[in-house]
Amino acid sequence: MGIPTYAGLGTALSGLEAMQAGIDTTSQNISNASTPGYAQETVDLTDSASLRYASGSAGVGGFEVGTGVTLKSILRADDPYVDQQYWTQNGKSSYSSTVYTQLDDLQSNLDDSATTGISAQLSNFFSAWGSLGGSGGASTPSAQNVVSQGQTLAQMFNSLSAQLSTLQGQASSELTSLTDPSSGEVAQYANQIASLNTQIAAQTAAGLSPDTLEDQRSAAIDSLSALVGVTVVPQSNGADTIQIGGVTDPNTGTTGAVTLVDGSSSAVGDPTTAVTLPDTADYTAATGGQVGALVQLSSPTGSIATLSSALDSVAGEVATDVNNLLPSSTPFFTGTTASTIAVSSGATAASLVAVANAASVTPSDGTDPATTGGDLMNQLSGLSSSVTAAYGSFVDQVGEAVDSADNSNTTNQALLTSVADQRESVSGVSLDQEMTDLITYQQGYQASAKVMNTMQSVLQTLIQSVGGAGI
Amino acid sequence: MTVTRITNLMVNRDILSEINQSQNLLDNTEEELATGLSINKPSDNPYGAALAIQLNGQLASLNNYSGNITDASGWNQTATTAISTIQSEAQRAQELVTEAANGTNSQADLDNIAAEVNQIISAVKSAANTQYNGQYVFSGSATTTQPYSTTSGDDAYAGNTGSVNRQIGPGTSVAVNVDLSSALGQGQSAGDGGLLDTLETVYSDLTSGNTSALGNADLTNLQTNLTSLTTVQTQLGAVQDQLTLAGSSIQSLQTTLTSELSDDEDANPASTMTAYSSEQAAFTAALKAGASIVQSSLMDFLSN
Repeated sequence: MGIPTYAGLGTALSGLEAMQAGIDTTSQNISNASTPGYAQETVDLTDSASLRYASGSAGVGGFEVGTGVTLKSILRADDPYVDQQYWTQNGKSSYSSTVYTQLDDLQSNLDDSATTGISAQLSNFFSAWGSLGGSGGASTPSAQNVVSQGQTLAQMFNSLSAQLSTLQGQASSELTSLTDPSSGEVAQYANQIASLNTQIAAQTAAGLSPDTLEDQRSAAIDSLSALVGVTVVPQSNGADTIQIGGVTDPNTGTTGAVTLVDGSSSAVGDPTTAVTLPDTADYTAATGGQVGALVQLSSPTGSIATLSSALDSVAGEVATDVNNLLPSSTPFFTGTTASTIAVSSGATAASLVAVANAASVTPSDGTDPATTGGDLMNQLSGLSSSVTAAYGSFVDQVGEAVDSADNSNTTNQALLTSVADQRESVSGVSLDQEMTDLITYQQGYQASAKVMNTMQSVLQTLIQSVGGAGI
Repeated sequence: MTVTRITNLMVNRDILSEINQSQNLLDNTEEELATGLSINKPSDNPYGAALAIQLNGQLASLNNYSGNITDASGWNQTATTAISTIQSEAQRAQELVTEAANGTNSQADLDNIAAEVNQIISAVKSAANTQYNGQYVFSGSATTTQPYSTTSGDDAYAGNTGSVNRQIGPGTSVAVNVDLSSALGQGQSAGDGGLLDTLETVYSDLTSGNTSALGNADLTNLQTNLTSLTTVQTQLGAVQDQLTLAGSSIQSLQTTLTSELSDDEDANPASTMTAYSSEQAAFTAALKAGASIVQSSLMDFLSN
């Protein structure tokens, strides 16, 4: 029993096909080198089942002849562990970058130098009191100056407070638009992932490998991970279950890890049941991604709110300390928060002149003794140092918040780069590697073609030389 | 970070991130050089920013006190000059009275002297009405009210006894005015022995030819008046001393605070320039290295 005549052709053909597949895959990799979510593909080759030939008596001895190469599958280079590390870190980096950008914006609203800004205005205001008292025979223009400086100061407080509120409001509305269950980005990505899950599960069940769909899903999860902190749980049917933490489940009301996209077999069959979208209000405990950052910034206990109330206490200190020294019949300020502080309508130049010129006035706080109007003016201007120090603490607080957000952001970005590199190392396309593979496959193809050529001439020789007589 | 495969995307991203970092550093240093300050926003140095605010506030109040001291000194100077004038006039009156009292003058001579005494009275009142910056210096705290009327015979003092204060330090104020009205008095009708009373008495004694009163009571009274004026001058001198002392102590405080402020927030030009040069060199190196790495790959070296 001999080796089949055309067996060799079959072997060479399988080689050509395998090399062809290799070149095609290399071409695919090169074309998609920059595609988001794309994972490098390699051909998985194995040698084909060999033919067994017996020689001698039945079943004893013999040899095997190979029949070529089989392309088992195209492998997608993907490490779920490294991917999850990337997604987690992406969420953290996105969080810290959003917080830092907003706080830095807040800081630039302070505009404090020696000549402009609230600290300079505080000095102007309190020196105006000093000049009023010093006139001894306090004059109306000096008193009018006190009123004007006070009004400017109150307006500056109001304005800064309004800017802080605006920032908080902007964070809140951006949060709403991102998390809206019908039109928000989170919802869009969730729906996209759910429909990809369904298609991937169907293809996997049919025995195909859905590489392109998996690339698209990977890209969608990348984008989603920047928005919220995601945990991805791969399912056996090929689908991925996406969970997000710190959210209230709209169905059960409990706060914890909520399954945004359900990848189990029952859910992928019907994509509309696979996605659970919480409302904006359910995200109040979220801590990851851009959404988590916006929750923190817009929260009544978050960074912006804390700084806002610190500003309120500075304004309150100004209003209270000044009013306490003045007689209760002529308060200077109304309102005790930065947004409500204003000069009282009863504080006119005439009323101030009357107080400054009075021989004896009683401060309204009940603890300071009665004193002359002139001395009272001195005491008022002496408030400058304590109030300026309070404002200085506020600025310190702002600076520290921004500084710490900056440091956190720098660290997180560095970590993200490192983790991204790890992931790239596993799934990324290296053009140098593709070039080398291309050479390998090309030469393999040329060699197989040469073999085929040789087989052809061998067969030709066989047919022409070994035939019937006379042909 | 050790990885087993390096891909083009990885290399490009890393180069970009390093160039960005380098550029960030450069931007910050450039801002320091342009503004001359090391603290350009609170997050650069939160505690330093708060300290700068406090120091600036203190310097602002010191500037205020300094201005008040200058104003007070001007007032003081004006008052001193006016009182000197009054003193000269009173001394002239003394000479005239001495001359009139010696008994060799005729009534006509005495009338001439009386006319001059009248002039002296106007001059004294005019000096008492001196103003500084639109405010009457000898009117007590009623600084917009002229203390003495220029009408002859009307010597009523229209001011009060209040004090005009200037704040020259935290919780420290000084009265810059002095009470001249008790030295000048309110004229002959009040009979209080003040300078105006004395001068008007002299005038009547001259016109009536009462040389014995001129030589005794009038001279004595004039002497007393001169002494009171000297006392007032001394008071003014004491206030000026206080102002000078306060002024120099404020100046040295200003110097200290300015230096402290500079330590806190000023950028050190030498070290900032050095940092800038080295960062610029690093940035250029990053760009050059990046450019050459980004472009080359295996494809450059394959022959076909």
